[in-house]
Amino acid sequence: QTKQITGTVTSKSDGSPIPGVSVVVSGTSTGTITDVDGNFSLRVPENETLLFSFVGMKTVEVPITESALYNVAMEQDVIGMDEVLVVAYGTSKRSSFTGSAQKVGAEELVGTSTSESIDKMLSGKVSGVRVSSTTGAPGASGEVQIRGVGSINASTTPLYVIDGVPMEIGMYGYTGFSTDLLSTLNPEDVESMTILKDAAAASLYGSRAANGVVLITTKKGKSGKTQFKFKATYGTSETAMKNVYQPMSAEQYVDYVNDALIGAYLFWYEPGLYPDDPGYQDAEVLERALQYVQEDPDEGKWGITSPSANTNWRDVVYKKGNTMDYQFSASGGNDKTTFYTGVGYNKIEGIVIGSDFERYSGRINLDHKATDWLNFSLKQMLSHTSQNGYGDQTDQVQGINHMAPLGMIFSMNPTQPVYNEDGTPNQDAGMGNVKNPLTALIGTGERTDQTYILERYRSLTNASVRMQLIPEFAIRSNFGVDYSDSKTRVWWAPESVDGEAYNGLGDHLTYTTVVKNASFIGDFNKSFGKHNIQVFGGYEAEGLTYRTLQANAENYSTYKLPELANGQALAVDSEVASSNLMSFIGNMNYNFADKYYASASIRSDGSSRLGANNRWGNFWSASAAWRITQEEFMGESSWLNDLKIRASFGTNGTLPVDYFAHSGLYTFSSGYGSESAIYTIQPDNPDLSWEKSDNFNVGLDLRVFDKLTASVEYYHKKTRDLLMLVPLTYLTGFETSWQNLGELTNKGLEFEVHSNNIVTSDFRWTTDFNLTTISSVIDKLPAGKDVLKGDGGMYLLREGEAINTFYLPTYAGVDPDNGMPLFYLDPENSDELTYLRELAKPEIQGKPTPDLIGGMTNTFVWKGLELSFLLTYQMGGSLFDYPGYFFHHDGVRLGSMNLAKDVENNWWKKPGDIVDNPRPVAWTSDRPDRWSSRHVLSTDHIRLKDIYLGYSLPKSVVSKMHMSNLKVFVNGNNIWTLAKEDTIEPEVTLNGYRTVDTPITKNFLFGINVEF
Amino acid sequence: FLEETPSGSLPADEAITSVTDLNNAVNGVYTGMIDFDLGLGDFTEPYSYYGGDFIAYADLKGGDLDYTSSNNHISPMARFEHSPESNYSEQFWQMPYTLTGRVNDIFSVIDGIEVEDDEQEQFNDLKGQLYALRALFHFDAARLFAKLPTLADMDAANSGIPLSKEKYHVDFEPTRSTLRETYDFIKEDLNAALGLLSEETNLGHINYWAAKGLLARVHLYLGENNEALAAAQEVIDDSPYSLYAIDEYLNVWGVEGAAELMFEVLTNAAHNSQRNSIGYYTHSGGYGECAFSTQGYELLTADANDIRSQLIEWEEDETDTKGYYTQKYPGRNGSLYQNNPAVIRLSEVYLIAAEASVKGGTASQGKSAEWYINQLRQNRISGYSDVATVTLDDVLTERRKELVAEGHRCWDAWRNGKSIYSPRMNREIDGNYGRAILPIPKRERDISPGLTQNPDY
Repeated sequence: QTKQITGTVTSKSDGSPIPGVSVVVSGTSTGTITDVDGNFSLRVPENETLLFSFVGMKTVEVPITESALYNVAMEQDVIGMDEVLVVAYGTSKRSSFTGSAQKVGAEELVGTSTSESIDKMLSGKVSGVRVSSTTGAPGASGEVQIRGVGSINASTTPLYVIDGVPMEIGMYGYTGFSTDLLSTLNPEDVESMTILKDAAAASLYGSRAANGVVLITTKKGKSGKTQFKFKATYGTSETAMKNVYQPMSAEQYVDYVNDALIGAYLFWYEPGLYPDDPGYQDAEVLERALQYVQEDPDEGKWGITSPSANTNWRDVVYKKGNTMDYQFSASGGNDKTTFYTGVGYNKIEGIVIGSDFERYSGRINLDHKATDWLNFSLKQMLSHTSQNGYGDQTDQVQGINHMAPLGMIFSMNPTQPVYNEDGTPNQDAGMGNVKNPLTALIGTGERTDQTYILERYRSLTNASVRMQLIPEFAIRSNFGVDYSDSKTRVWWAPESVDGEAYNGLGDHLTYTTVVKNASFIGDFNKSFGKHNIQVFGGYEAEGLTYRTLQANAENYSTYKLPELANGQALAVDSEVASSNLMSFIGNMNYNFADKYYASASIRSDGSSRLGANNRWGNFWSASAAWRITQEEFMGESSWLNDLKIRASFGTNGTLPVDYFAHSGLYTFSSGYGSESAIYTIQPDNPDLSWEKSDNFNVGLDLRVFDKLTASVEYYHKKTRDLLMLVPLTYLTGFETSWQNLGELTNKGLEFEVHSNNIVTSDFRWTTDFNLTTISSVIDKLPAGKDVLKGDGGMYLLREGEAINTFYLPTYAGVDPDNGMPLFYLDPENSDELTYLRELAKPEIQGKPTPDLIGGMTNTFVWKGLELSFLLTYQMGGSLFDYPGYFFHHDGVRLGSMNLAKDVENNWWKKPGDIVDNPRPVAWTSDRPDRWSSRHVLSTDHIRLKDIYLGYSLPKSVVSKMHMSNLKVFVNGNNIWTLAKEDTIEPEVTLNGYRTVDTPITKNFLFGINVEF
Repeated sequence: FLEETPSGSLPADEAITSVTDLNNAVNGVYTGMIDFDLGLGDFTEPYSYYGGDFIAYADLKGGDLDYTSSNNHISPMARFEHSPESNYSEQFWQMPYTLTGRVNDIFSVIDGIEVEDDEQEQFNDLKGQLYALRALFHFDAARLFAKLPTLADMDAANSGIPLSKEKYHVDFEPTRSTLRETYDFIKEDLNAALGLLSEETNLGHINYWAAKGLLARVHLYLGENNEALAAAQEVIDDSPYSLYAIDEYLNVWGVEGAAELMFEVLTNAAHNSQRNSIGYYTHSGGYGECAFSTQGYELLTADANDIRSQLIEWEEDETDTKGYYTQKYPGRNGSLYQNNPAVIRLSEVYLIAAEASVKGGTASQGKSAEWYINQLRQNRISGYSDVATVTLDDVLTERRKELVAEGHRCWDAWRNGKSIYSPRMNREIDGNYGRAILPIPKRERDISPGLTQNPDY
């Protein structure tokens, strides 16, 4: 039995109508949202309760009576302890939720970013969540990590679920030139994101939940007047930190070359560098060395005889970038049908010349209530992105890519001018294969072009239906199809730097992924007396298929037509792979008098990625909460508004990244002569299983003085059966094999404070603060043995040590007597020094995971003016400066690489000098530049991540213009950074490996927001 | 629904069930010699074995070749620049042992193959090829990582290399054998191969004669001159190969199945060592890392009547790579990547016989050292008149001329107790110099602590 009701929601404080209030029948998904005038209408069953909720307001519960009119006045809340959370396979009230989850609403996400990628917007806003922007390449996504490092070799990224359907993320593209699939989403379409952190919140996602879950909910229409929104943003960008990657000046460089050549003479011809060399500190030998330099053995190749310019090539490669973003949306509907439609255009020109990113996206979300018991919805997103760029370096790749823009900055001779006198680019500027970055990076249809284009199409479809069969029981079903198509076209024209060897190379690579997901869930709800029970159970199946197709051609007959047909076919390749998952899920929530809460969940997953002996796994959680303030003995406290304690324990897992890691395989793709060739490429392991984690979480939520909410949580996550790519002796025929070995613990404390410092009728100051401590320590390794991983074994995995600890020799500075570098011979056991890097044993040199991260947002609103800024900070982590290794080469790369600016006047010249860099020795085979503690730098920093100043015109003015809102704003990202090391960008990938890539940018934006 | 297999590969137990499969699997070992792809989906692996690096190694260390421009692909070998952590030591270890692993993986299933009656001969031949390949890989690893037999105590502990005799479990930790055990194993495998291999020519594959030639070379390295001479003589007398004549000498390079080639590894457009191929190293238009050094150039061009002096050209495709280059690797189909490296060819067998003979080796049918040298020179030098005596130095010089850029020089000198002059090091270097051999890669010793490092590292 249902009936139609209507009503108006107003603010208790000033009586103004509140639009966008969620009006839901308790325990169901039947509901609507108030329109712009605060009105709503809804068909409701009898004898139920209406829940009115709105962010920043206290939730109001009103029993449905015989009345048809429900006018409600809402009271301001501090942070809405009772907001409705989107949680795993449903929603929950904040007050009754027993797990650890944090919601970030649209208002916190949009308008405070470059609209580039949603994950970056989480930075600094949620405790326990670490976001790093790893590169400044346009369109690049961040890296999100929830509660430490969940795995050594399997995924450490959370599961992304959009409108209830798991969404494919990942880098699909060309090595060194790719962005994550997340960049296809338009952040403007997002209504909210919920971060699921502990087992109680996340275990329903079972084998994919060990790294936490990010639930994304897209916008919905509201019945009532159709609302139009238009937003335009324009901005510029440049490198966030100006001292990062500055090369040495021409004058200093010439001086350095001189000294390096003297060093070379004393190394290669008449040894005199080290105390036991025959020519050590021998004036005559030194005289001959000086003479050798004056004879200029390479005819001024390095500019040492005739420096003609002082070019800072960083200023040539990095220019000012710009961003533009246009968004248009319309939403509305009636009692039965609501819609949201949005289109967006985002374009970024990167700071590297010739790089850009462009996204077109459209979305339509339709919700329809067919009858009292039948609802269905359809959500459809389409987007197209395209990206022009360059071949950057990827993680742990040896050598510096001469075509990486950063590589170019340093392989250019600073004594050479950018242009010839006739205005053409100087083609003698480079020390290596790249002659001038202007020619190398900008595709102009010339015979020297080297271009990379990535185009993506993505379609996300989500259809769902819900049937309320009886008041206590409903069934719902969700179908999702996620299609993405990433096409990369690489073109190395016949006379380009890399294309010359091929006489032109065209390479086309296509990745297509299709994920199909279906779930069927039955919901049961029942209240009797003060007991409330909510149970659901269901089945879910998901299939992922990816298909690659690659074709390339060389020997082009013309540089004008890059299509493959104009070259000679080189190779073709195709591959298809599937990964399937079958699951059963169950969940139970119980609450007594809104005072005691208990929840339990279970999920059973079967995956095709695992060995036949270990294909199925069960994941479960149990949790409870106690709202102490609901107890009568607490009485009515004047200051303590709410106090809740909650605890949870449960398990979840991580699947292997590789779909077929469990099978020993022969590849058939090879050939020999005119025949086929097959060979073994990996050993088999039928026991290969999930990584399993046991999660414990205890938390305390508190609200005091009606103005401050705080929560404190402690988490402890122990991960077992880590997937380890164990290195094998090559005598096995293999490099590595996947095995489930090892244990790891992540633990830490999280604090969040949300405070309404001052709230008056026309002024508001709020502060949101969060702090997280992280500890990621390895407990157990195969046979207790240290494992060295990464490039050259630079990471140590050792029991009791932090994950991915850097393990390198310790640099002890420069010997002031002779300028030679000093290293500790055996730093773990003695203070003895050596001149030779290769004799020096490694020791632990810090770790990439910081001890402490967090952020603080302050918002000031005065009438129509709003100012907010977000500071993020992190402490206790380090990075490995791989590019810096090339730019502090001590003469080894003389003639192919310039040096970093911090070497200026900071290398040894004469006895007694106390400096950081040793006497340069050209091409020395002693290699003092090889990795050591010199290359491990602190990432401690505080950053003004975001600052926003907006002004909304008074309603009276706006309404005359037939608008409901008009806002102008200016916005800045990464404007200011205080870093311990100011020559390196401290935001780095999670393994702390600074790759040869473009540093992240600071952005200045201004924009206008119109609603009507 | 939960049983998925990839589209491009099969589980090992389904991969090799017939003789055809076995043939393809043997091809999978050969192809690794020139296209060392681990199946990781990389566009190209960054290094090569017979495709380039291994061949360049002995000539760059030997001093007759030198780099013009150093792109640091293989040129650091000319500077003897390698450490336990460097790529060079790891790659030169990884390649022969990985391919031995492939051989052993095939051996582990070979008895389960269904062999039809008319396939028995082919089956035996393929099995023989596997033995011969395993011997060759051990021989190469021994030359790279252990002292040469003539310079060492053959029975000293850890003087040899680890032997890879069977398919190993993933937790296997190898240790080094003695040098005697190493070379005994190599000879054992070669002898096993000889009992199975076909005598027919078989382009790109090891046949009886190639295995015999390699055995002759192994005996020579061991100072077993009688056995070396006997094996070489058998090849010279009975094999279908013949020495290149003067008038064809300039045209046999870049040709598949040329008359001397007993075993060449096949390259084609799809499978080669790309920019790490010997052709790309030995041309100014490539990396230019293997040009003639002054001494190499002077030696080869000393006699204008010697046709080999004409197999050299001045190239200056790029200013920083200009120099004199060998034309042994002209490329096929317009690609410098496509050159089939010769693992063994008949000239070398003559030179093996000559060397064994000059060192006092005897064998039935064996000839004098002069006879072999004269035979070879008659086919190289116009208007040549036979000499009556030759010395060991004459034979070694002839080897330098004939086999330059084919991966022999440093070992030829060192195993005879001679030194080479390294222009980059600006000094004489003999086989006892610590860096004459590579260090055991650090990675491998981290996995197997029982693996003893070479001295001086």
